Amino acid sequence: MSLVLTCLMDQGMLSRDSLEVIGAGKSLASDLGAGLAVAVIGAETSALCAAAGEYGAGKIYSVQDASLEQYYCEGYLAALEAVCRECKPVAVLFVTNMQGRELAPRLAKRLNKAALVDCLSFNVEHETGRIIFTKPVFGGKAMAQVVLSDAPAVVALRRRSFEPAQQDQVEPEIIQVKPVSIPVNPFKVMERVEEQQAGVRLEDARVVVSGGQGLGGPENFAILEELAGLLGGAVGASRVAVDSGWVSSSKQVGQTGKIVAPDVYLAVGISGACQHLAGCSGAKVIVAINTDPEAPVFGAARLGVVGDYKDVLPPLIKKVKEII
Amino acid sequence: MQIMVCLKKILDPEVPPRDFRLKKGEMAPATEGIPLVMSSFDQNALEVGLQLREKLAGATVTAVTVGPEDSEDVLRKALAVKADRAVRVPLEQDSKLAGGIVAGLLAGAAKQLGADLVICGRQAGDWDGSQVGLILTEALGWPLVNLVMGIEPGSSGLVLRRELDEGYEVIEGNSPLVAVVTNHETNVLRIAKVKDTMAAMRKKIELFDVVDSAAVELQGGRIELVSLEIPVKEANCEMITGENGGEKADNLVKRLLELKVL
Ligand SMILES: Cc1cc2nc3c(=O)[nH]c(=O)nc-3n(C[C@H](O)[C@H](O)[C@H](O)COP(=O)(O)OP(=O)(O)OC[C@H]3O[C@@H](n4cnc5c(N)ncnc54)[C@H](O)[C@@H]3O)c2cc1C
Repeated sequence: MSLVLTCLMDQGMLSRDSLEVIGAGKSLASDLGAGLAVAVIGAETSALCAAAGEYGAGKIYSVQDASLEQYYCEGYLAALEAVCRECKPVAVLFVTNMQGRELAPRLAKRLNKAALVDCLSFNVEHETGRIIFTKPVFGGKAMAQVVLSDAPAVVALRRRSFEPAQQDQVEPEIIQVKPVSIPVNPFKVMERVEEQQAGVRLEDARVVVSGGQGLGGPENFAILEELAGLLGGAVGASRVAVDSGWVSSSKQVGQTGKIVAPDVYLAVGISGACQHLAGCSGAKVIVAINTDPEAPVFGAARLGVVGDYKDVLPPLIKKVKEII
Repeated sequence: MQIMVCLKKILDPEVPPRDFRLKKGEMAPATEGIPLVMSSFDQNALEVGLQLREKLAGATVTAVTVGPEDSEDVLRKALAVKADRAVRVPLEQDSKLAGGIVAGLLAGAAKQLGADLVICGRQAGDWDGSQVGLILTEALGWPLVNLVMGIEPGSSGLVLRRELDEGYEVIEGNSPLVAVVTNHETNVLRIAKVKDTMAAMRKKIELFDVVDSAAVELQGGRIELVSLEIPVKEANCEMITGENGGEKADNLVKRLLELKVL
């Protein structure tokens, strides 16, 4: 039976990213009449194997080695290459996160195949059995449909574009894979700074208040912080605000930033470039506050306020305080 | 140290959707009336290269592009901000999503130059392929640092600052390596002086002939474009009105409550 291989990057617990890739893997496998396999990597993978089994992974390829306790590209790549040579999948799925972005193209090249990054959806062509993948191009102004010749197709899926897998307990068959050699990490980590986020994580927040170039300076983000704080939400930003040094880059929302899907996404002083909207189009309600009635953001928003944020946000904060 | 920075000339990614069209009967964008620019992450990559050169005695920056003759504009732009050399590797057709071809040619150029460090942008702002730097890493067999914000000389090798999902890390390693760059406040490309822009017009652009590596690359898996379409998006924005900011704010909260999202 042919297999669709989904690659997990977690240690111990399954992340939302992993559930999404397993969910997508299951649906592709069923469209192809194939089985679902999962690759897990680490110093000790038994917890992860058990967790993957709870979500229906019938076949688990595990690479265990003390050197793989923490993620590093060269090591995980060698591990996945060994898994692919053993498993011979028809497709290999990643998430377009920090790891998937770098692993998918490199793995494909090692297998002498092609990869696709930031895939939004796929479907299996009935007559030919080909998998057609859809990917946004030109910042989302166009959609490309592509076919990757020769199996396996190596594909990284856009975050928050696939439904996470549901629980579905199976007794998995676990195959231990031993790579011929695992290269040592060529880089030494000198410092790692995990940003402390006050309140909720941007990606989990039910309300996101984002600011852009229209805010005019870093000090004006304080008012967004205040509003987000009142609503139990998080602050995001456009790339221009990040490039200007007003906020840290981990707050960037968009195609090359975070993908968020809150109930309310408030875009303040953001023009609404497609590359930005790619990161918030999953929001239930987008609210745009912008001085320019022609700004493209109004084309994507559900509610729009034409006006200067300086006139709208202070009374908005006052009103929110009244109702909470 | 020989620093090679990879640059691509693209259709301005900031053109709004209403001005974006496809060529009739072709899976390609219409280019009439739309400016062509240096891809924005490549600008960041160039700035990272220039800053490193300033801190490393004897280092040189070579700007390399793969494309037809008119793509030399981006090389002129790099020369205007004082790249030492400029190289074009000819390729007539738009490679679209087939980043492997470009990566193969760039790898050939890196070898021909004797580069120690290759810096690329994380993704081109036209086809958004996000693969060239990574395939290039494999083609050269070098280690990779992805999502780099800046590079400095270290006590023994290079010190790279890279973005993580939540935060950043500083790592040290030795060249040769490939650095794939993301945007950060510290790597916005400097503005060229007018006199340097003029001088750049007269500088030499070298042509490299690296056909072989492309041929090798073409044997790998192919990515076949089967359709290209502009998605139809319906605008259904409800405008919140009011005499002043206060009224607008009140009306906005009212609607958010009605929509049950607050
Ligand atoms: C490959 C690629 C990837 C990219 N990835 C991302 C990404 O992940 N995220 C991202 O955000 N961008 C991304 N970009 C950049 C994107 O194309 C835009 O340049 C960027 O989003 C614009 O930011 P902005 O809306 O803050 O600025 P602008 O476009 O300058 O908009 C500012 C807006 O503020 C309004 N304004 C001004 N003053 C006020 C005021 N007082 N009150 C209210 N409104 C006001 C203006 O009318 C204007 O609409 C990417 C670009 C490329 C090429």
